[in-house]
Amino acid sequence: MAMTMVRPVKAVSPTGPTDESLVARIAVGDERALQIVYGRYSPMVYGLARRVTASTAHAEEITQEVFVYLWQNPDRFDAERGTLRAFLGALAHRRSVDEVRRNTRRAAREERVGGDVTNLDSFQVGDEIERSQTAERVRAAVASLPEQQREAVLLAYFGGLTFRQVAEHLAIPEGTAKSRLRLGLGKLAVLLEGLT
Amino acid sequence: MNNDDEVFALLASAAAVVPPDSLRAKVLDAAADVRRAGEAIESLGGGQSAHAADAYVRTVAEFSALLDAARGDEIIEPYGWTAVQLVGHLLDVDRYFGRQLRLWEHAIDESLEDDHLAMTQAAVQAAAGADYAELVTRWRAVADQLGAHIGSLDAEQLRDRIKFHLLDTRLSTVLVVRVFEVWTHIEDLSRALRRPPPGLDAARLHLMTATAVAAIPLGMLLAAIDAGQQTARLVLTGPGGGVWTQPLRLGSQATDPAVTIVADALEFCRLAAQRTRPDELDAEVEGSIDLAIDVLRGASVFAA
Repeated sequence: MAMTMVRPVKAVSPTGPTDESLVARIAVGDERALQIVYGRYSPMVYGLARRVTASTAHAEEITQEVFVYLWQNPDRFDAERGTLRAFLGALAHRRSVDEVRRNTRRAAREERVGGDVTNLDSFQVGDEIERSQTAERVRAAVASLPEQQREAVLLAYFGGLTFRQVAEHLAIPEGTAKSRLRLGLGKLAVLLEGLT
Repeated sequence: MNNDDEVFALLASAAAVVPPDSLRAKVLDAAADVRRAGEAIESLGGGQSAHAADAYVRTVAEFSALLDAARGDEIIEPYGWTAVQLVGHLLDVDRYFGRQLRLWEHAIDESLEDDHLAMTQAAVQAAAGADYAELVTRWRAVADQLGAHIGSLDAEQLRDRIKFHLLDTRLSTVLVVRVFEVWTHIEDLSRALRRPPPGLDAARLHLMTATAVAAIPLGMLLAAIDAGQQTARLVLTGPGGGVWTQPLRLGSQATDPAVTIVADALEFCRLAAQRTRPDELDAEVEGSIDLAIDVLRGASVFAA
């Protein structure tokens, strides 16, 4: 006898609609879904952009670009390839780095990446319990990395530096910079396993 | 995307900063400038519009082509008819449709006119012993006449009112209802033939979803469900989808939605065609589940 799968109408989860559902809604023009995604991820996008560009004006521009891009191109997100957080994070990072590289005040940037970017205490977290818990676990994981690996990861990500620039900044060979970054990311991936 | 992106995004989450309140409105305004709310992206049929008459003619043609793959004795659910009986049913409906269009005479039992299935019951029984190929030929002759007539009508004529079963509405609306009906038979027959149904393009599906949503107040009235002045918001995802704010009582104005129902557009059409039960629909609800079930019961209005 054929089995009939019953998938009853269900209330949305107490944590809200899933990211995948929200992107499907955005694709058909549901502006409320965009509002929910914005509420969920704008602190990450804005915080990242502000940290990389060191500019609130650029951070606002980049945040706007990222969410408008999602609204225009929701079909570019593939839930099978990664989370919406990673998708938006990668977009925000790429645009932030582009902005920094366009920035003619290179000297000021060089000064900034040497200080603030690798300082864990400067991480600011939102006031939502869940986000704070995530933030605390991430901070603990980053803090547990050997200093050389931590520097390489934070310079490459928040500093928006290439392998070569990380190497120059730390006065080490490029291969060493690459190796420190890979080792650091590998350890973080293990330490942050299961964190959503 | 790769694992590094996931790790980096977690790093970014730890550096999250709530943006200024004013940014939210700027982002939403900028989004609305590039694509207005309620409009699907192009790959899902956004910006495309199907013509009711074309949609009808194409769907009938797809059903006709599918009949070539059948022998006539296949059992077709949900009614347990054979394929030849399904053709008998459709032939009777098409004769009735032509009668309502004043194309020909066709005797009906007027006491059954409001019941799509009961009205064709005698024809379905008579078809049980009919020759499949011969009945298909007879149906195609009628369907071709209907198609030729409908294809010849201009936009104004498609707005003419017509009485069809319970509906007294524009011909274009009846055509979409008939697209629903024929598409449902295509799905039923394809299942019996164990083959995938021909794909329904997004523009045609959007025409169907829009009509199904607009029919909810009528469906609720027929099901004796009174939701008062409440309004539902329907977000139908996937190809042919869209967003609708639908008052639940005939003739009433939209108010703040009391419930939002999110479901796949194609599945919603199966619900509208009574092939999926309201409590079986894979739908996500914000607001009252009871009201959502009532809305979905109202949406299940197109008998086929």
